[in-house]
Amino acid sequence: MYPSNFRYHRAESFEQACDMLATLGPDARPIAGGQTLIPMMKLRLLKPSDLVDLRGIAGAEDICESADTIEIGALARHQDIGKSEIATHYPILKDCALGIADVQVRNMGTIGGSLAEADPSSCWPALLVALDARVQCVSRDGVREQTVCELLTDAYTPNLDSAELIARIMIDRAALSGFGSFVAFKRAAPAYPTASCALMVSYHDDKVRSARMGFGCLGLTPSTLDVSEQLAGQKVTPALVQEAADIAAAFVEPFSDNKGSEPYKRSLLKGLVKRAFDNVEHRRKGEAIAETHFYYG
Amino acid sequence: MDSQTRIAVAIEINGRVIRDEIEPRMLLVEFIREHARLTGTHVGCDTSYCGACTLLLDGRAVKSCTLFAVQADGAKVITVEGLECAEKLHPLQTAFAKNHALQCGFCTPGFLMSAIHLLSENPDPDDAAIRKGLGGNTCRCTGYVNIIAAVKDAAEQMRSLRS
Repeated sequence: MYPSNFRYHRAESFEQACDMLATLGPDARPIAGGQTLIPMMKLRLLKPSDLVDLRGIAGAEDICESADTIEIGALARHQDIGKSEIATHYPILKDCALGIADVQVRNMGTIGGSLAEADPSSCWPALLVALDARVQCVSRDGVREQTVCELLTDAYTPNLDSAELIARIMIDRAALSGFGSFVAFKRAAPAYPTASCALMVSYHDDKVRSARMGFGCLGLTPSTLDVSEQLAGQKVTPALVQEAADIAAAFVEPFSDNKGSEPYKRSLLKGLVKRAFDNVEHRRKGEAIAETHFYYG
Repeated sequence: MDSQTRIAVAIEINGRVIRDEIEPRMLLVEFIREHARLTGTHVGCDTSYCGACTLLLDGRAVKSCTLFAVQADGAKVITVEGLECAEKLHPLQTAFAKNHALQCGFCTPGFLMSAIHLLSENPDPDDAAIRKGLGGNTCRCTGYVNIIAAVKDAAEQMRSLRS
């Protein structure tokens, strides 16, 4: 219940935070929302010697867009991203942000924290790989950019040096053209999903022009699949959706665990792909959708 | 490890600023219960799951067991003790009593604070919105039905109080 003791520091910039982390040594950790870090510390799975609090960094929470890009500061909280005007314009962002955990966690948890954990079951990674998003990373050596796919090389292992921090997330607006939805199945609100699926479809009239999917909880890292070739030029019919669902279920590499067996998860994904296409078609027709996150009962 | 390192914090709780020097590892819920002596906020689990520790931090519902008190330095906190006004119960509290939305009552403070946050953002929620807004709170006694009815009842009372 009680974490082991640590020294607490506040950073006023990402550069200062990197300096502090490098100086304090390998047992120092950054803290953003703390919604995964603190539970792990309470269970003593993690015993950092020092915590560097990032939440005082000015300008690190902004959500803005330019002509080509949407930029989100790493310290932006899930609830704020979900309620932003940008998320209203691009509902797939809203689906993802407002489906994470529960409202209390969303009020503190950050998108940067979610990415840096590289948890196979997190929601933002599953969406951001489908959107081919990029991250700006800051260290004492300077600033570098990498794709989210490059960042998430393995489960719980982000491609970050020990004193390197994610500062910003960038999404090309072109990746959000068309209609999209992010859906997930969860056993309960605070739990990680059992499976999640992001779907972006662009149309030519009422026929598919391109389609791309992202998958969470179904492998060591999130994965993405472009199914434009298989679906292009066709209307969205139950047969087409079934084809996409079958392709998706064969593509992912889920593990059997306490959330479900591997065949169960593949089967679950097929159901989620269908719901995602359902939502996308409703949105294309300008109709409201009922729900994106599904639970037992 | 220097376990004597303490940090000075000043946290406003229900309108009163509480100052103290604390270990950085002290959770906000412990600060509230032990240092501010406000035991309405409860600890119900070990895994940040149950929401019995929910309170408002700068207007947002958060789980106070998943926050260090040092992170709340300078912030405004409202706990369940802050709901009543001049010895009169908040409409949510009255609705919970009237609708039998509690049995053992252990989860109730957390539900009240989450419901306050929900109704501040959505004054007229339907059942689905209430379920979603209260998804971070667990009750082992009631089966949730009366809790949802109480929130709906309170929402109506609060809307008519405003008009």
